[in-house]
Amino acid sequence: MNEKLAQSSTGNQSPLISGDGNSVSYGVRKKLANETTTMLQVVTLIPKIASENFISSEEVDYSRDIKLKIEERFFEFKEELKGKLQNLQALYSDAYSVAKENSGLDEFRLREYYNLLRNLSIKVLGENGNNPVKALEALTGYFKEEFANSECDDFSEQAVEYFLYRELIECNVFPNIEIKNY
Amino acid sequence: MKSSNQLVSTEQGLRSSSVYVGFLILQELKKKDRVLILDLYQSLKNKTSNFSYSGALYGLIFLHMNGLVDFDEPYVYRTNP
Repeated sequence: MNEKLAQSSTGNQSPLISGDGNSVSYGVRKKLANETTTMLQVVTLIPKIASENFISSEEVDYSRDIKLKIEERFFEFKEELKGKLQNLQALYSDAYSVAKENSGLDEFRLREYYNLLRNLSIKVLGENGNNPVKALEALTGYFKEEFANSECDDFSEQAVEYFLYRELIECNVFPNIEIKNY
Repeated sequence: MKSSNQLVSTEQGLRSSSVYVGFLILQELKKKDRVLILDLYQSLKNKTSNFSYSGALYGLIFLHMNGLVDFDEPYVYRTNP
């Protein structure tokens, strides 16, 4: 009965999906790799860390120009950022795309959370003297604290770091701000 | 690129946006005149790997706002313009 549930809902034929006859299994793999669970939860932790918008998103236009960002804004840190990203890319890119697809949050909540993330990252960047590497370390520190508070045992700090790097590319972390001219 | 006034939000994958779910719903409505909403949910579950009820609801809202679909409890039917 449990195997039928497993095969019908996820199509996953893994022998890991099993259960004793007493507990109900919903056909989900019993233990996802911890980087995937980390990335799935990271977005939901954002509102616990950042609760203030000090730049209203209606006045601001985020220009998603990655070239401008890396080459001009963070010119001195270009090599460092690229090197770090290359290190983590092979390990966590899969988990990131899986987490993005299956996040289960609806678009309005996601938009709200990402607005909070943008503002939080700007604030942290200011606190760290416009040094993006230090600011990213500070941000991962915040998330690490929140994970520890929520008693989540197996979270991967490097997965959080990779998530923030990818969001930097998507211009959700340290966005380029242009104040709209009226 | 402005972050407002976009039909598909950038933060979310394309396949879970309201537009794509609306497309899947219309595909289902092509075959029959009207569908029970529970059957609609079932068919959406079969078609997408990541199904969420709120996502399906936003798809229905999107279609209703554009005048393509109407509701007659418990059916969802397509309005031909």
